[in-house]
Amino acid sequence: MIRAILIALISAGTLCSCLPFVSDYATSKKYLVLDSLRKGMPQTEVRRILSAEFESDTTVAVTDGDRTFRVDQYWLPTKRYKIRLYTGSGMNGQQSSSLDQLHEVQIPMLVLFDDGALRYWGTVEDFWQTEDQAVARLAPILDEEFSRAQ
Amino acid sequence: MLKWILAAIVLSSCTLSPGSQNLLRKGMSQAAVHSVLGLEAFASSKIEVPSDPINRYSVDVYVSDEDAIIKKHVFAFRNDSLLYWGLQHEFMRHPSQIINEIGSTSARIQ
Repeated sequence: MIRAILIALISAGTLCSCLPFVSDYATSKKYLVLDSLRKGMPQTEVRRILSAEFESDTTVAVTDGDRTFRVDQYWLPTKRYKIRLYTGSGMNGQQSSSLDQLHEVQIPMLVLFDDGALRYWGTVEDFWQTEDQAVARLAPILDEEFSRAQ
Repeated sequence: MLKWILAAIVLSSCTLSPGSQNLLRKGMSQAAVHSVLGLEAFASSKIEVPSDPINRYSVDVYVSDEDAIIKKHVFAFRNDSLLYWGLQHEFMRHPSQIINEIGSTSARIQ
């Protein structure tokens, strides 16, 4: 009996110590979705894959010379943090209580389609830095388009 | 597929530290990369690149824990010379077909 209680206590302690990692694991797992992207994928398939994990709110068309590209914006979580809100002063017999709120820092990821096929994806900084010159030329246009859209 | 994430959580002290990659340079040997990063790779493998069967390719896989998000980093070598490094999906979007193929193959490395 005592052995069973001890095992239960140790198991509970181990599980509690793992809890902080659970949300991190969930966020980390989202990033695995990016690994399934391949250049040339159809826009519908990319949208199906990404919208299952990431929020998307903007789509724009950008033109470079005589070519028009479609660009979707998704929001990637980069960090999670907890804020504890206190209510009541806890003085003069008032009861104080607290509420934990989980916040997520997100950055925009742009997904570029050329004639309905996936061409490139990443942050605006990635677009500026890519060795793909046709994509890099779009960086200043995207910078302007998406800063206007937000 | 998620094995390396779980391993990284358990062995969080064995993950890439932020900034260590800034010291890497293209052309470094595999041993030099290990030395700069101060760690052995989580996984290491020789790979075949269909569009370049003449040269010898290999990849090392590391994990990082940046802002509590665990990511898989791939370091690709051609003839023991550092060719490209980055996150798995960064290989897939690169303009070079060879780097795309390395990314595709390294996705299968557990």
